[in-house]
Amino acid sequence: MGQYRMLVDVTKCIGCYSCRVACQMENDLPSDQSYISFCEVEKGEYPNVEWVMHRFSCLHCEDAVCEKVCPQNAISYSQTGAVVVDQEQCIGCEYCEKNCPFGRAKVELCQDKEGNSVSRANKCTLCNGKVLEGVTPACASTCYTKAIVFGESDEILQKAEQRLAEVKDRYPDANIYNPEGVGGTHTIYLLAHKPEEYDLESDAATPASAIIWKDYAQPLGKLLLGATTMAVIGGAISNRLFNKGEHHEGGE
Amino acid sequence: MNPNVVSEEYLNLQKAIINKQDDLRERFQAVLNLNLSKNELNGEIPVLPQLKGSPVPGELYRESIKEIESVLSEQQPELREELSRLTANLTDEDILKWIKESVTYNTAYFQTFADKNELSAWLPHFLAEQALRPFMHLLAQACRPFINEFEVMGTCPCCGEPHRLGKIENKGRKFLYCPRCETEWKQRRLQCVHCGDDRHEHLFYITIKEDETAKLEVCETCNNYLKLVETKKLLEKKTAALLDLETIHLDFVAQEEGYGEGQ
Repeated sequence: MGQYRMLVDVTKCIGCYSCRVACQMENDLPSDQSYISFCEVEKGEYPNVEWVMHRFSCLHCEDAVCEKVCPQNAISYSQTGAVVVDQEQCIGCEYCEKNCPFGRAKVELCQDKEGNSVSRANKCTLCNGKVLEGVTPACASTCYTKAIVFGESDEILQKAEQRLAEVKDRYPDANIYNPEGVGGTHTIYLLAHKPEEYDLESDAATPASAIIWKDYAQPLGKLLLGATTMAVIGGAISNRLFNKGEHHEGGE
Repeated sequence: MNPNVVSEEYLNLQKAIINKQDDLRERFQAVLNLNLSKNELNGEIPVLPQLKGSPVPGELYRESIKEIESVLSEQQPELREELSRLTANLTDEDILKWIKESVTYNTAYFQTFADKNELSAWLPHFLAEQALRPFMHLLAQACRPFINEFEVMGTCPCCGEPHRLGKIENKGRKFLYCPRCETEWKQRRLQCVHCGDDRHEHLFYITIKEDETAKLEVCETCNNYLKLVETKKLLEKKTAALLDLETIHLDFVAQEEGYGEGQ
């Protein structure tokens, strides 16, 4: 299966919230919880006013910080490109929430299989289960204005470039938000204005501490653990031999 | 949960056949010239039975049989011997008869043919029908410019196949989609495709919890049904033949609920 991407074209979004409702229904979420939030900003002065809005959810980074910092390895990459949380493995430590450069991973109270309230990381899964069965994510199939489109990765990137060229006349600052600092994302945005005007960081990046932790410290730690274990085993064997010798000698 | 009841193996076989039919359609398109004039056709009868000559040349049909046979042999090696015996003995006269009988979907003829030649009962008709499809697709292409102006009740306006599949596309419009010739034509959203009844109190949907992309449209007047696929929810574009196959579970449900011909 190939990788997929979602394009959110904010120039087409009318803020109807139907994506949010579809997401809540799909994920069986209560009305006060959602993986999708809305950013609404009023710009300009009368009579030249504009209401800038867009829906926002997990961006599914190629180089996801949440995946790097999770001590339980509960966060992983799906073959579709989505970054998904294994609720069985999650312990609700909040590392993902605190390190997400976009503030999209949330640790919330959920119910486990026995019905107990537990803290677990909760975020958009890009409808991974549906996509694996060849079905479009709930928000994309609900969006009436086609502001949310989903498809094969390259095709969506092409579509975004094409759409950018179309809206440049109307929005000179229009840009595609696909931060390179996190290796690109599987949810990309066509923004009408600069990212800062949507509360998005234009230079969002994976922190060096997360890279050092996941890509160097952990493998090195495992190596060192291996070396230490070998030393302990080696010590035990030599000690035993040594003691055996002593015991033998003592026995005589 | 995927409600599909067709085995992965059979789906792969059908996909391979569909790919081959696409290749054949492109190949035959260059040599087969189906010039159809709307003015010479009656808009209330399907196009296929109105044609003065056969849209299927014998030589090309034989080539199509050979190509479909090679796909079947590759996918199902145990059929190889039976298939080569079948195709080796096909005379020119048989080919012409096969074209005629497969166009009219004459199962009885192929059953007799299979008995006479000691072949599996399903094989001759399956091969004949699959080999015919590229020509049906070409006919549908030739009809595309005017097919929406046809008003044929109950069957495909191109090949005359009874309705069984429709699709709701991006803008919510309903199209009927023929699994035999791949013709698609626009249809009123609130109307039974079999009897034309448009009273909303007589039309219902049956949805299946596990299936979020397809549902049944049933009519209480004629007791018939149509499978409706919401194509905007599908990640890839699929042919009508494949959609028909992947929604067979809906046929079971409809027939269990007492809908369909002869119910």
